[in-house]
Amino acid sequence: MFHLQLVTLTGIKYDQDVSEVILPTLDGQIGILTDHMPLISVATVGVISIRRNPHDPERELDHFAVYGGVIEFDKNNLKVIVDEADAADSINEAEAERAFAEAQRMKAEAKDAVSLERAQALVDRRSVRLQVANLKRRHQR
Amino acid sequence: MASTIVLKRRINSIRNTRQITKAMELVAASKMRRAQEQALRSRDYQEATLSLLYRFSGMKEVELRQPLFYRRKVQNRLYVLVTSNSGLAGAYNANVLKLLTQGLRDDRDKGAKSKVIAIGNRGAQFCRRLSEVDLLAVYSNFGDHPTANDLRPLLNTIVDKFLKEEIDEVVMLYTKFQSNLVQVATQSVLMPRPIDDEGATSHDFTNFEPDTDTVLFHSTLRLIEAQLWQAVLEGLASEQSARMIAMKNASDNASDLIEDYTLEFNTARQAAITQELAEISGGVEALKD
Repeated sequence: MFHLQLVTLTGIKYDQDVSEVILPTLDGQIGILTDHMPLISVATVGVISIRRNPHDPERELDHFAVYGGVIEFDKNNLKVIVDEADAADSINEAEAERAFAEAQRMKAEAKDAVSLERAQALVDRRSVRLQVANLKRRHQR
Repeated sequence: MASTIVLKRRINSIRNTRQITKAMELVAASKMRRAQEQALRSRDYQEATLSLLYRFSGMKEVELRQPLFYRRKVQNRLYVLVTSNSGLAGAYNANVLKLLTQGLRDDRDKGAKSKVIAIGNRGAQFCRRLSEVDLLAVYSNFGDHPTANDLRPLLNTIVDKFLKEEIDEVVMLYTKFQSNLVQVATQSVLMPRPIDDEGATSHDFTNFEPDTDTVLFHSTLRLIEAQLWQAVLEGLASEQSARMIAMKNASDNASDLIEDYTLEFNTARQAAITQELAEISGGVEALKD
């Protein structure tokens, strides 16, 4: 077990001992287990999955949508420093779906490079939210 | 003893003032709550990013790769001054400006040039009066709830000037919020981060993924921005708290004054009545004879 702190601009969202964390980084997903070597890395837009106890099944994982930040692991302390993190429970699936469609529409209508880039960022964000919302639903079945 | 008319006028004028200060107190109180909440919520974030910055600046390889961590001899020092736009906030602005004055004096003794970027009009006004200070920019439109976008141009200016070596050190002067009653004017070096003696040696085996350059490229600005952001939020929370307390004191003083003057007014009125009665009864006695 190691300690996880999910630090955001609106406070600490998660602060407890866990057994495994899967994080989205620039190089793809990485899993962190107890006694991982000291690490500093960059989190990208994606889903953070947290396994609290070693033998928890998939459906008991906690999921958060994050949109970029920094990851620091040292002496069995994992700090995930992100601007925002949305817990699966806090996302309304229907709303997320609508927002995603809206972002895609904006991307399709984008005229210049700047607005395209902005729309793409929005699409990425909202697809992650949707993904997290879907994860929650799958587990409820 | 002043005449009753003068006293009456004075009481009314103080009463009007009290009405205004009372209203300002209430406005500040409601703004304060939100500002405090915002400042306290992001404090954990700021502390986490700060400790990471310290960790970075303790690593030799970081200083070699990321120009924002270069330490040069300080010839030009930039102060980021967080003050309020309006006054009537007690000693809120004065305390920060006192820190600035100290810094300027030190700079002059050491032969360094001082530059200032002011957030808030009060600090800007103060700096315009000083000849030795180079006031680079004033940001006075952050409002009560600044966003990251408000801060971006400021951050870009600072980073740009640092990279061009126009400035060698960036110092933030702001007021740290502690409680409704206590706000402390604080000075902290934004760039380059000073070496933290404790953390300097212990983290040398840290693995950067994918590699040091990429991590630094993506994180440094974000980490620095978090410090700046928190300074502004702390300043806002402090400002509203200081203003509320100042206005509360003003209202209380006004109430005391009204009480004193009312007493004096009543005494004067009674004296006038007594005197009039004495004159009437004196007149009656005179007629009897």
